[in-house]
Amino acid sequence: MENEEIRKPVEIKEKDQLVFPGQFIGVIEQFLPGQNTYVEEANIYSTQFGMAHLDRRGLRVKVFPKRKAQLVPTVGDVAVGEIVHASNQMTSIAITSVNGKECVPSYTCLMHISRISRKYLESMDEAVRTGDIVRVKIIDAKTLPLQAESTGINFGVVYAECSQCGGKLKKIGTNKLKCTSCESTENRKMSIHYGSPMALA
Amino acid sequence: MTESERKLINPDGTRLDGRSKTDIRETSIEAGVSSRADGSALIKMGNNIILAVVHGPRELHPKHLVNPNKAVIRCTYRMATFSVGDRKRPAPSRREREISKVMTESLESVVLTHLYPRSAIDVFVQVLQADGGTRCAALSAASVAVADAGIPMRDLIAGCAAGIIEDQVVVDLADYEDKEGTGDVPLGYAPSVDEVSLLQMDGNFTKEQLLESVELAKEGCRQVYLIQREALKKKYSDIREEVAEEIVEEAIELKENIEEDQADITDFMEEEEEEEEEDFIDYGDDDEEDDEKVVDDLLEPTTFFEEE
Repeated sequence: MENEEIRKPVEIKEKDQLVFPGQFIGVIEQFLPGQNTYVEEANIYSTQFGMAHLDRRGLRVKVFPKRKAQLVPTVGDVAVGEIVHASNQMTSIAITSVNGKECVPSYTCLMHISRISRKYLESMDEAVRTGDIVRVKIIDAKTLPLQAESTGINFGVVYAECSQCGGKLKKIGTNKLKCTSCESTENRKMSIHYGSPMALA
Repeated sequence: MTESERKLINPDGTRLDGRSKTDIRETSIEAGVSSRADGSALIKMGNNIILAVVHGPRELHPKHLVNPNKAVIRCTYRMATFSVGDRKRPAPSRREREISKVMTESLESVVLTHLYPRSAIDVFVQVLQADGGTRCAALSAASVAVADAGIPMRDLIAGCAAGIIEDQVVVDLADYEDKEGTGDVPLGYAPSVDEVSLLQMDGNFTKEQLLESVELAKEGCRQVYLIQREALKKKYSDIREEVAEEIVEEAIELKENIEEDQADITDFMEEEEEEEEEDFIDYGDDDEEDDEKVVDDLLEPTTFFEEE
């Protein structure tokens, strides 16, 4: 068997075809390379195991993978995670959801106190506490750990438990919460999505 | 005759297990065997049984290893203590570290790591049963596992060895051929892009023998490559069949339900019709008879007055 047999191009003009990583699809004179393809020496190859599809105008070829790889957060992504540590100036967040999709195992993300709210904060306890679930935006992904901010009405705490008794906290004001069992009040930098499943979207 | 003196090639040119010089051992690959991992594959190549598992792309610990431009691939090759005849000591040996290193470098050459900066792709390879040529089989399994995890690659890597027994170049050496022969060349090869990503040599070769070994190993790799493709294809066709079976079962159930409903409806309609018919008989014919009777009764002269 020769390589020519393995390198036989797939015929995708009439019908979508199953392709494997490294499968030769065609040359750049035939199509433009689209998603999940790469070009080497003017040849188009697939990078994924999936269906190769030629768009309606017959110009661009792309591959729809059967299985997508795990997510990696990038700048501008909306992430949801748990506060694992809150010190005087920095919080660290374990991100478990990126743009509404699950991200397992979690990514560690840092947030400085100046990035939590537009208002001046005396201490971290006014805004977030350990164990809160927060909705944040990734602002820097050049190096690990990632950096995040929670300014704006969409971002902030989306679920919290009472620091006194562990009971559920109910929203009673813009940035105020009241415990349903011990009736103590607490301050947080809240998101408008507090307690709503919309927070994950 | 002792083992070291025995002939490894029969007079008819076949080897001791009946293979010709260019035949690889019977190979099967199964993709997606581990549900906990992102991607996995199990290869059976002759008596070799090797499990490869991929986790990632995921966060890299320790963080000082992070590369801000591309993902870091970490491949770990380990042999189980029961994988060989004498118990293998469980501590990682020099050989295992070496194979981990060469496999990492081989996979790095095909995985598009620049798409996942600051991340780690962990590949764990566990040899459950060893019978020669494990590094090549492990590499084949690892590349199927990486493809199964959905990580973009330039090509699948197939691994196959060639070597010299009795001054003849043969492909895919078994354990006894490896030990009793004079040398071997393990090769990792990406057939579609035509690149060699792993090449090692053990023993003494002439230039011609080495070139012939590489050509034969490449040919073996192409055979493994087709099996790798089939493994990936089978996983998803199995899933499709399962889904299709479920749909068919649901459809049959639905059809039965509809038939039952229709039977109920027809029974009900028949009962209604029967009732109507009965009613018709009651009121229809009897009515006329009754009317006639009434008329007759009326026409008949009453006896009431006669009695008086």
